[in-house]
Amino acid sequence: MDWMNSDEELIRGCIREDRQMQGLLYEKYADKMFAVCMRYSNTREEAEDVLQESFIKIFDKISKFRQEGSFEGWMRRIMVNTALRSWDKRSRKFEPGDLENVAEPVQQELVLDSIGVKEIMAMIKKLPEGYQLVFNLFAVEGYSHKEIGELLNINESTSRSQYARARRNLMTMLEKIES
Amino acid sequence: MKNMQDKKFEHQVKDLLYNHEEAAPNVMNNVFEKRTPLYVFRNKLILNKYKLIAAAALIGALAFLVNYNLDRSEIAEPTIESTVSEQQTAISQSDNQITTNESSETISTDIEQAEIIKDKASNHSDQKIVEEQISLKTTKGEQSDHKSLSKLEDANKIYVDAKASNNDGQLNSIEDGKGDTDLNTINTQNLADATDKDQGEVNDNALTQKDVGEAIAESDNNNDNNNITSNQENTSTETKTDLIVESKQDIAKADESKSDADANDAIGDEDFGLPKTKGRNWSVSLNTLIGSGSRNLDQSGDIATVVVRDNTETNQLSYGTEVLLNYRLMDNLEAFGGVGFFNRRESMNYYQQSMVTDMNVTSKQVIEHHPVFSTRQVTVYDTTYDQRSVETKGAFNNSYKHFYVPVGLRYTLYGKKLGIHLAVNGGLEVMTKTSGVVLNDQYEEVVIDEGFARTRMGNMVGVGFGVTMLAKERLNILAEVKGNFFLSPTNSASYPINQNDLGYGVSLGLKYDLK
Repeated sequence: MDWMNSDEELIRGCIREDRQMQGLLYEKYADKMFAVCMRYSNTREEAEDVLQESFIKIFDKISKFRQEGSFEGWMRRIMVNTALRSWDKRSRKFEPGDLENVAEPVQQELVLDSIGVKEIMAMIKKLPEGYQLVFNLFAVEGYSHKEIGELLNINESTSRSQYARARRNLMTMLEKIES
Repeated sequence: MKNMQDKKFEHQVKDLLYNHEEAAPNVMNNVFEKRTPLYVFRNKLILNKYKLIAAAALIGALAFLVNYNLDRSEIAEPTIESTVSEQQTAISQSDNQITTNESSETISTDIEQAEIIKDKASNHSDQKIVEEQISLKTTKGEQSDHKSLSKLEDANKIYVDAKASNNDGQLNSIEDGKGDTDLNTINTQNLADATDKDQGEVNDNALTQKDVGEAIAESDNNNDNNNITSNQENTSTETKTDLIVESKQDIAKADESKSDADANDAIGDEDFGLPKTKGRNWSVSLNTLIGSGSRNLDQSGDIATVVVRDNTETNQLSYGTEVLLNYRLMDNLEAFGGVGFFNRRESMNYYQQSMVTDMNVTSKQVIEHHPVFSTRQVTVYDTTYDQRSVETKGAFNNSYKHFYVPVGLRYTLYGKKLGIHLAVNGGLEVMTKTSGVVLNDQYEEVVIDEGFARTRMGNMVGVGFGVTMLAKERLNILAEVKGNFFLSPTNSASYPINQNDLGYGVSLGLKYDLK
């Protein structure tokens, strides 16, 4: 595996449609991007499909990438958009979760250091799908509520409330684990 | 405070998840290669276009260089060399004629010619020149003829100078003993050969320059019945001028006689490159195309099938042939029509690896102890899932045969050795035959036989750019870069996507001029 290739070299190679460079780009970023896909997919197979579709889009559109921002961020956005399209095909409609009855977390400050990635991901997966999307987009990917609203075709306020509920639910689950 | 806690939680989540990695499947990269063949196909097409243009440019450059070198050799020739064959110079003394054929002995310059002629003239000034035959070899092209005739004119001038000067030198005859005859013979073969050298390849243009002899005879009459003495030097200039004028008239006559010589079938009688003004307007040609082919799949159709097919099919060496009947419409323009055949060949190879999940359900009878109902026998089912990789592969040679009737025009720019032509044609594709196997979007094999090929007639266009070279009398060699584009889909309407074939390569052929 040749990790010495910089993003710039990889991009140039991919613009030339050099198979080797495409392969190196995939090797370099596939694991990280696959984690993104996994967060927005219900199954591993679906995540693989999203990853595949996304990389094909990346290879296709890479000549349009402007070297102004982060290449990884650009790829990540393609992954997220593709995953959301996949989710859109599957679910067709954003259904906000019903967690009104979830109790307020007693402990306001939680330490996540003792919790592994798998545990936190498993907890997120337990959330209703709408909460998962909003939480991942806001807390992990760093989208604003306005952007989330546009992506999911919901109001900005809905995004905020969904995120707040998702967060509250997660903290409750964390409390249970700690206790 | 609450906001800070919120942000801390979000940062913690982001730190955990943002750079988290999951092992992506390695097989993905192979999938991309299968999923992105469109670009490969596009690149190949672009590459082939460049090759096509490069080949056309190469042919054009070669044609130019050949012509250019000919011109250069003509310019670089510093002197006119003449060739005289002793063996082929026959003198008929009884008839006072000398028949000149070919030569092998080289005499170097005009000056030497002039000396010979001068000596002859002075030695036999009292004799009448009965007849002269000048075998003049002219090159292809009228301009060359004029050059040749111009040299002839110069030679006449020299000859007249020689006559006028009336020196007493001895005739250095071409053959020993010729000087003792009563004949005045002028072997102007050297002049012809000089022209021959000057022009490169030549056509024999037998030109009887009787007029020159007449002019000389007239000159002799003006000089008191050919009695030229040293006292007549003052009048020689006048005589010379008259003769030049008459020689020019003779040159004009020679031009006329040249057209008569066209009737001769000898190869040298014609100026290659210039269209014949009468006769031989018809010709027949046989061309063989060797190259490659390609096909364009309509991407507005079933894109999945397009992707699969682009991924699995590779162009192979393709070939074709055409038999054409040509008719000359204008000097440089020919119309042609005939029959053609092109076979586009490709190989189809595929290798597919897929995961298959097998569900195994096993059952067993177990005895269950129940606190209330005592023991009982129950059936316990156990389900297991096994995943296994299934590989399928295949290799086939596909063939797309096109039979067509081309009709088109060919425009030729003629050089001295080569003609450069551009030919375009339309045509009817009268029959299409296909054989082989392609895949559908499910990677299933589809046989492309009679059901696949289009049954109705279609359209095609062709374009060729190349050179024409005269090989023998009536026989031309053609070499061109050619492309055939079959505009109508190769497939029948029932196939989900439209496929248009094209073929390109180097076409070599022979063209024979008919009567």
